[in-house]
Formats: sequence, C-alpha cells, structure tokens
Amino acid sequence: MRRERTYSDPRIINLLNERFVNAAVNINSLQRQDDDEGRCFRLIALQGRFKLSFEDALDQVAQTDHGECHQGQFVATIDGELLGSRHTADPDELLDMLTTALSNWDNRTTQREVSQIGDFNRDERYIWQYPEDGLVLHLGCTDLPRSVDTRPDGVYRTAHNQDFVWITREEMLSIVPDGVQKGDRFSLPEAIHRRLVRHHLLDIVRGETPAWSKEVPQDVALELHVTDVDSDHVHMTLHGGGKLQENGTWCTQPPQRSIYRRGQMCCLIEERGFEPHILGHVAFDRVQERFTRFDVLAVGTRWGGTTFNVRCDDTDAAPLGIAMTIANTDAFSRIPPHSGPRSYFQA
Amino acid sequence: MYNDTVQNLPPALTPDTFDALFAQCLPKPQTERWTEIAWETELWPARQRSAQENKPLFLWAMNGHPIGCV
Repeated sequence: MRRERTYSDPRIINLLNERFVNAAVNINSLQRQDDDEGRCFRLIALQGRFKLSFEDALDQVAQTDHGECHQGQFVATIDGELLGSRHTADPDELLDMLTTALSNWDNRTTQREVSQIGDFNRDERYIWQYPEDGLVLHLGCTDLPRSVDTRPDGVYRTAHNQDFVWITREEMLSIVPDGVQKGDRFSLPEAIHRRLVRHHLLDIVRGETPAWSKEVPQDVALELHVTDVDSDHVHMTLHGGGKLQENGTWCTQPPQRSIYRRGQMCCLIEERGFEPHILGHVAFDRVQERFTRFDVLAVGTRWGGTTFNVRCDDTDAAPLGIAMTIANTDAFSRIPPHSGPRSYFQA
Repeated sequence: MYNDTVQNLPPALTPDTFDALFAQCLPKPQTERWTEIAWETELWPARQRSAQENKPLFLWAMNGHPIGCV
C-alpha cells in the first residue's frame, strides 16, 4: 500500500531519480547484520530513527541486537552523516524531508569528493543465493470482492501485496518424475509442498505475517495431474485445498482512528486461518529442463490476523486470493522471499 | 471466529473462473508506478553508486523488503 501511495507521486519519482541514489532495503536482516553493510545502516538509522548524535550512533553500530524497529526513510552521505529522516506514507511529508535533506547535502561535512567504496563480506546468516536455473515465481495477494463490505473507503479496499517464491534447480527437477504418462497423479515433493504452504499461503494483503507453524502444511493437499504428454512437454494441473488454522497471541497496532497507540492498549488477535481451494496450470519442458508455465491460484476464506498484517479491524471471515506465476528476471524480480534463508529452505 | 455462516463467501474456483480470478490477484503494472524509481535493492551497491556519482543516498527501509513482501 505504501508503495503505491508514497512512491507513485510524479514529484517523488522525478526528484528521487534526478537527485538521489535510491535503495529499498529490508531491515529484518539489515539491522541485525554483523558486517559493514549492517553497521552502515545502523549508523544512519540510529541518528534518524532514534535521534542519536553521529558520535553516539557510531559508538553503538556494533550492536546487532537493538530490539526496536529501524523502519523509516533516511537521506545520508556514504559516511553515514544523516541529512534527513522521516517515517511517512504521505508524499508531501516525504517531499519536505527530501528538500530539507538536499539543503543539508550542500552543507555536508563528509563525501565532499567522489570516492570509492569497496566490497564487503556479508554476514552468512543473511546470504540468499538466487536460484539462477531454478524456478522463481512472482506471487500476488489481494482481498477479493465482498458481498457485505464494512471496510471504510480508502487504501485497504484496494490493498494488495507481492512476494517471490524460490525453488532451487535441484528441487525443480524433482517435481516431475521420469516416465510420467497422461492420467498420472502425484504429490509435490515434500520440501516444495511445505514451503508453498508455510511461506506462501499467507494473508499478506495489508502487510507481512509470519510463516505458518511447522505442523500446519499437512492440513493442505497438493497434487499434480498429468493432462497431456508430448515429446517435449508434460502438461499438468495442480489441485489442492485444506484448512490452515493457528492460534496465537498477536498484539497489534490499534486502528488509526483509535485514540490509543500500541503499548497503550493491546489490540489482541488470537486466531488466524485460511481455507483455500487451489488450482494450477503447469507445463514442464523436458528438453530444456525448465517450466514454461507455473500458474497457481489459491482462493478461499481467510480470517483473523497477526501482529503486523494490519487486520485488527478486519478479522471477520472474507475472501482472499493468492496467485503465482513465473517471475521475470529483472532486478525487481530477484528480491528474496519474505523469510530468512535458513528457515525458508528448511521449511 | 470462523464458522459456517460466513457472510462473505469466496468465489468458486473452477477452470472457467481461473483466468479472471488469476488476473485479479496478480499486481497490475499500471498501479505499480514506484517501479519507475531507479531502486537499488540492497544498501551496499547503492552506497557504491552514491560514492561514484557523488549524490546523497536515499534509503527506504522497511520490515520486509519494500519491493517484495513488506
């Protein structure tokens, strides 16, 4: 939602493209990374988000366990000298910050000359290996139309989110058994099944949410049916469904219109669920050893929410849709899935 | 919280409804104008470019990757 609201304004697009070098970064890893990139980010965020002086921030950059959230928008020099910061979805507020930061850039004390920055060794806990010859899917998630709609007008009615699904080459090649014939039916390999269910059959429409617990994938069936086989291709449909349900104690941010803020009044959600029907159309090229189609759709009823997916005022059962298709190969389609690499590949 | 008297039932997912529902769920390029911004997707390459081009570094830092699931 923030993407469209804040960064679709032509004034923002033009100013950022002309005057800045822009980075969209994930703090789930970055604020914890024990490496030069993590230290650089913390130096900037500790000044911008937590209002520390440059010197005090510098003293704390080695700490990787700062518990507070480092989200925000920051402008800085390469040396970490803060020029502006804000945490806003409002384009006008962001524009004000950027304008002020450009004035501060003129008066900066660092990065006066063009310089070089070398490479660094990333904290190995956060290294993702893009599956170059594997299967990468682009996932879209949205609320589907409601017959009874009590949501207030605004961004939540059109909210949608995206993610990426990564399947390594070795895993991909294990999906279609050798010698399959028309009419054959078989399950997806367990690792792929668990990954799809735990990490991707999630309600992320309004924001991120944790993976389902490890016990949950067995409640969803996924089976491939071979519909046609020729010399090159195996054509299949994917069928599945089930009921995902989990109890928890998710303390959420109260709705915007509430007089309370988080910590003043706990807005507690104790359950989340999704009951999807799943259908897919899949084609595998046995000569090229790659999928030429992998279109999968999950449609069903969701309910409840978790701490960060902003369902506090929308926990009643309502329809949700999740679609996956083969991703492009541009830079924006190489973003890792929403997870950590270890938990993702060992789902 | 969830029971059999759901007011808002999901649409039927069948071979006939697949294409329309599928299109509804995927991001639509015309609403994704944020992709017109030249984002680096990690801090370090942006810092290197900022050094080369001598321009200020703008960071959009979120829980979850801003260009992926956020």
